[in-house]
Amino acid sequence: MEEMSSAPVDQTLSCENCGNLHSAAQKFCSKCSFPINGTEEEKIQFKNKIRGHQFLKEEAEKELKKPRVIILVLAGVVLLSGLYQGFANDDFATMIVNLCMSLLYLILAAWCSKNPFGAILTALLVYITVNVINAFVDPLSLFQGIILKIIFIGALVKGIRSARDAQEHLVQLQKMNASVENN
Amino acid sequence: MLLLKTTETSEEIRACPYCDGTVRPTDTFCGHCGKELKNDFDGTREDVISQLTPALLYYGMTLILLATFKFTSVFPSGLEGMIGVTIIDVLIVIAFWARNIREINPLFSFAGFDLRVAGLTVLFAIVGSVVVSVVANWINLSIQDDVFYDTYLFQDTRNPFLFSVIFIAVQPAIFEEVAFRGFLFNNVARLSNGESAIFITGFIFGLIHLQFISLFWLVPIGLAFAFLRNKYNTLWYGVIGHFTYNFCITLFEFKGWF
Repeated sequence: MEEMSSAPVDQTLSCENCGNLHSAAQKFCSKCSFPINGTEEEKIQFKNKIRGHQFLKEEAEKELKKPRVIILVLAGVVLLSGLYQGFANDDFATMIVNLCMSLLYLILAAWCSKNPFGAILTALLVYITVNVINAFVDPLSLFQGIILKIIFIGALVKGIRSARDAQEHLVQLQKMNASVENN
Repeated sequence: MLLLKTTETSEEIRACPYCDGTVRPTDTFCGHCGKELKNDFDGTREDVISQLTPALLYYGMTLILLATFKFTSVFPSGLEGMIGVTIIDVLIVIAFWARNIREINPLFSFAGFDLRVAGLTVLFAIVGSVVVSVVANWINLSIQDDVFYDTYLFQDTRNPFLFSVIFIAVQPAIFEEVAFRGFLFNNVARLSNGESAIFITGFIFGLIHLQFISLFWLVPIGLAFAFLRNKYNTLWYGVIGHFTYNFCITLFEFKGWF
């Protein structure tokens, strides 16, 4: 006990939310922000804050299904147009390029469930690059299916935002020591 | 144990920026006002796309520059056009480098530089360049396609090999590394994590070369350099590996090997 006097704070209490040690003078846990000396109402507010983050994280994750579908649609469109070029126009070089691009989009769609931010951003950059190259080779190609292109790009951009939101709410939940369910 | 922890942490006491209460460097939240101390999420943060703007801007500018060079006749053909496009490319990188100088320059530190890792990087780069050359030759593709410039452009200069090495090996090893493993990597990693940054920069490094078949080796090369950048927090291994790989490709072209 005599050694204890060298310490300015007495850390003998532990937070009921995360178990971190704290002094009696503290109002909030310095690890998870739980109101250790707060009223029941403040404690309920803390739980509600966790629920809020959980809800927003789930909402953002629901939104992530859309860009994944868009990437799969891209894989399908590229595959079909490749097969058409190959078999109808005997353009086998384009067919091989398209088959590889289709495979790349499929891989990105699969990666989307593990790392949505990385997969969707990569898919967006690949899609933009392909369109820019096509526009340089044939400027008119830029306007072919322009509405679909805008929809695809819009959905991917929205997907990047949702992925970032989900990620931020997850970090916040981890800081608050809330149990995090991953879909 | 408990005692030790208390005395250790009590040495560095700071003031909370919100309520002036005492906090320790290890605290995530202030124990007095409950506010988050290192707040990277407060609901009013900048939009993710605006935060990605530098990366998208650099990629867009370089993509349009290189596509103009490759697919149009805006730049004169031959050496002049190649030098012109290289100067613009380098100037773009320097502009972004200068803007992010505080984050980029520490990546050139030699602290923690490991000769064994550097040696392995060189070895893998040599083996990689041989494998790529053999494969490229087998599918009847010029091995120069993936480094963007052809050595034949330099044949009328005073020292074709020296000029080729400067433009094909030295310039990309510095400026592509600063761009892809430097500010692009930092930009993406700050918004997500190292894994995302490795994959995104690896892919776009391959894409920017605008050569479809080369993607099969450029993407893995980009991923390898990004992996080294993430693991060791330095650009040196990427610079060394990139230089070795491009130097070997140039050497093979001059010697007519593979």
